[in-house]
Amino acid sequence: MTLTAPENEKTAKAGAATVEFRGLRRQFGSSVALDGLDLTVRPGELLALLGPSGCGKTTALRMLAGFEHPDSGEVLVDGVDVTGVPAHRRDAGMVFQSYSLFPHLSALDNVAFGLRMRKVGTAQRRARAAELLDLVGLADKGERFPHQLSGGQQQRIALARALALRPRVLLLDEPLSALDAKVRTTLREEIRRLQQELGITTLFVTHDQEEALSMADRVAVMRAGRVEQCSSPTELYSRPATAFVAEFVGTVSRIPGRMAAADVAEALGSRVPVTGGAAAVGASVDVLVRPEAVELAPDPQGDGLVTSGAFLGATTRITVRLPEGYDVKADVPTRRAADFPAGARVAVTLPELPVVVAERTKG
Amino acid sequence: MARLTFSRTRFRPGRGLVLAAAAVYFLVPLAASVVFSVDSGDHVTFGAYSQIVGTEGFTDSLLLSLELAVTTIVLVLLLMVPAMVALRLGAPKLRSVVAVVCSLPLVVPPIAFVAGISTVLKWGPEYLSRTPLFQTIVAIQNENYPFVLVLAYVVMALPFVYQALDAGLRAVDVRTLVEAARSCGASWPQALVRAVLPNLRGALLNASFLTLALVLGEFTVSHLLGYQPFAVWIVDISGAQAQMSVAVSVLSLLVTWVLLLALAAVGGRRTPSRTAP
Repeated sequence: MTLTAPENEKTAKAGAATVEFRGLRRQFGSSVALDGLDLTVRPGELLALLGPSGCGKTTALRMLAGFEHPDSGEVLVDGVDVTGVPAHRRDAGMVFQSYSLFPHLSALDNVAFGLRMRKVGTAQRRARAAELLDLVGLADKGERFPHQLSGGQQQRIALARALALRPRVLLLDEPLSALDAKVRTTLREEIRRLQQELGITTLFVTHDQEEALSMADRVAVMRAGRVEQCSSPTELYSRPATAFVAEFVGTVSRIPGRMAAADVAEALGSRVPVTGGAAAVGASVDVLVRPEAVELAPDPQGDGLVTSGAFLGATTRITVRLPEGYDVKADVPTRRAADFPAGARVAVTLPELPVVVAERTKG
Repeated sequence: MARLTFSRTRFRPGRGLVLAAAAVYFLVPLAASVVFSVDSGDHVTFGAYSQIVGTEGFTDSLLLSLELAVTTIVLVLLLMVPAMVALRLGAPKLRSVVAVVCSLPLVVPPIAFVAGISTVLKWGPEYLSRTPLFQTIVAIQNENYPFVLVLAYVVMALPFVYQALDAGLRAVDVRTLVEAARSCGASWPQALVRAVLPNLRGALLNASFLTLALVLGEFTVSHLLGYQPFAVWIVDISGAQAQMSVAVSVLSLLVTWVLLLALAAVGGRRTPSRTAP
């Protein structure tokens, strides 16, 4: 089943909205949910807000929806401050995490709910709702009630309902987290395709990095109420700005090293360029490396001791214990995995790829 | 599912015993009352029943009780539904406080309650005779439609209405429903009426049931304040004739049942079947 948008659904890219968060602060009791959040969502892009729970990503989304109000700062849509506009006049469609369909209404009536609130005539309402059900591939399920639909179908209906009023912004609050893995993957691709076809500015909250990296044009990694880094998935992965981003997105290992110059670190006998994190020249640091950027070679005189291996398919992730007590993960092609049995001695080297450094955590 | 159904239908001696005991406890006195009310020595007669309808005050008191019940239901729901939804959304911590306050009428005996009400009503002639409030106090004691009883019943119904609504609200995610409706362009009142209330129908119905039963059976307050709704009328006429008094009790039971069934029929129209085709 594929989701495709008919011509009349498409908003010209020029018509898509720009969303800006400016210095948003929000405190709940003693916990700070947002601590001066600044972020711009470009017209027509899908921006994922990624972060651990409690980092303020949902609060930010709910502020754009109008369900939360900032203590200070403002939310702008196309340059207009909407901070004081009530939720029902925000022109933002939202899909919720939990099943939020109205249990007493059929799928069709759920989708038509917003049109009914806008006093659209019955015939027109039904036609538009049917069109949207068709858009999400559930044209034949209009008469079903929410409890008669699967989780994935319910979220599709919720998506259709959110799009019914042709909102300027689409808000997705972890819409896939309650679904099982297979449905999650297909629905994620379909949401993405639909979003691109409609060209609607979309904000997507998730704690699942794979989801964020695979769907979004840009990903904003949040931590303690602020944006840590906002860039394309590729850049986020290959050039993380901080140790937090490096460790939150993908897998990294820490290797003991030393700052050899202002932007060069020395570790395992290699000198590697530093792109993120900073420390004084000569300071001892941890160098953060991805498993695919660590090279292993069998060597009876090597420093490293293989402790375990995990089969991942095409590659096998070998864990090597360094003499300083650090565990380093390295990916090797599975056909070579036999060269690194547990207990074998290996030489660990770093190719000259950019890395992030962080303060030394072990004595 | 099949196994579940099977175990449900299998005969369990323990359950049968409990059911039989309950049936004896409830049905035997009822049956005895019915038999007594239609027995006239050697043949069956419905004289006692036909007499009731003709007895003065029957229609008036029954209608009065029904009017009071309807007003009470409307008032208590208008008061409690928005309050409880607001409580869920805005101040969940206050829930236990409201629960205790709403249970107070169960603890305060009606006799103490009515003593308090009469004291307040006496302020009318004693202190307020020169103020416009005096007219209000007179108005709520109108013989034909004593609104003061509605006020009392609303308070007395609070514990039941609270419990019924609380159970209903617990079963739905009010916050998400309201927010979903709001993001679809519904204002606050629209979200409440269109998205929340339809999903509380069972709870509203239960609350109405309990309030209706309460008002139809209430005696102490209405009697001591000197009004004659249905329950008071039954007691008043039953002193005279033993057989008729029992007949009236049986009839009042039937009336209550019929009204409850009518309410269920009006409010309980089911949405299409719960199983997927």
